[in-house]
Amino acid sequence: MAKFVRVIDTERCFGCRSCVAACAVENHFTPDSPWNVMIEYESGRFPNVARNFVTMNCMHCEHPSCKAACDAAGFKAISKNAFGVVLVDYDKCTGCGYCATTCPYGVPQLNGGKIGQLYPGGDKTPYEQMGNLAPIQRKKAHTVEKCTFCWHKLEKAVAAGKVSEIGKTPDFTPTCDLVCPTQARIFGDIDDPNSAVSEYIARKKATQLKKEFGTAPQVYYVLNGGDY
Amino acid sequence: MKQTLFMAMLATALLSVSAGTVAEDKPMNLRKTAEAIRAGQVNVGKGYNLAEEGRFHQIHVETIGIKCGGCHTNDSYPGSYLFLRKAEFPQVVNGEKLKAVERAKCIGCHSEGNVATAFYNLK
Repeated sequence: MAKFVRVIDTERCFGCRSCVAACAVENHFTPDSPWNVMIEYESGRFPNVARNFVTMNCMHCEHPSCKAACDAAGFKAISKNAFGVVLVDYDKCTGCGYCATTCPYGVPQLNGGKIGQLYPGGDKTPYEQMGNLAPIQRKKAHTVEKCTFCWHKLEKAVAAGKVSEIGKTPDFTPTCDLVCPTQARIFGDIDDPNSAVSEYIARKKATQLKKEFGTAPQVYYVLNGGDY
Repeated sequence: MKQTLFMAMLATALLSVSAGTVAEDKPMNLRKTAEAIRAGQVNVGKGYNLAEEGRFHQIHVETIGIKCGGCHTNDSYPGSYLFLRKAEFPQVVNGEKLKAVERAKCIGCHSEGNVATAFYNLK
């Protein structure tokens, strides 16, 4: 069985936010509840200073704390599927926010009922008028929403028996990973030792963020300080 | 006068009993308290939400006795803090400044093998 991971090279990322924009267009996340965010900060002391860019979305952890919290509360709205993708069932979610409090990465977004269109107050974009959104992309007020690894695209590959093309074919690859102008994002199967993502993680010593929480994220980062 | 004094003492005693573990002078046994909460023996409400009167804050503030400043420490997250929702802070709710919570504070109690419901370091 394939296990899908993403690697983000912060040494290549220059903070253009193409991935953030692509996610907004692809998934229509609720305004004020972004699924993909660019964290930008300065480090060092003059004259040895640096500007750092770290794009963050759901880490799709091996042991998701959000799921543990949701299960403990009895709602069981969060699941992790066979391909390692963590998804929220909007019909079961009550918007209690327990997942948001436990996620070390601040990923789950309580949308607060502000379900709206891409340009609030304006006309719907042609894309929004198409009405062909997959169930996982449709939003529900007062629930939690987050990155799905573009599961609506991955599941098409699974249905078509083309799992091996995930991460290689645009139709079967998360949109944020397609648009990066510096190829700082790679998506693929970590169980395949010959996949681009496996090779990149090994060669660049990519690591996970906040390992002390023990959630084993499936998003790896190449950090300019190396692994820790 | 004696009757009033007696009534006051009785009321104080009853309040202490109803508050259970919290009202006891001796140090709280966190493990037993956590187990009692999970078993439904301590009334922390059934409202699963993050409101001040909801179950989450009833457990952490009213039952365990953590003060607001124990968790809500910074006006905003540090620049290098890698947290997706960091832009939510600084935040003002009902005219009161709501401070940010760094999740590192939760690891101790909420790791597997520790006292509270485990969310982290699950085996």
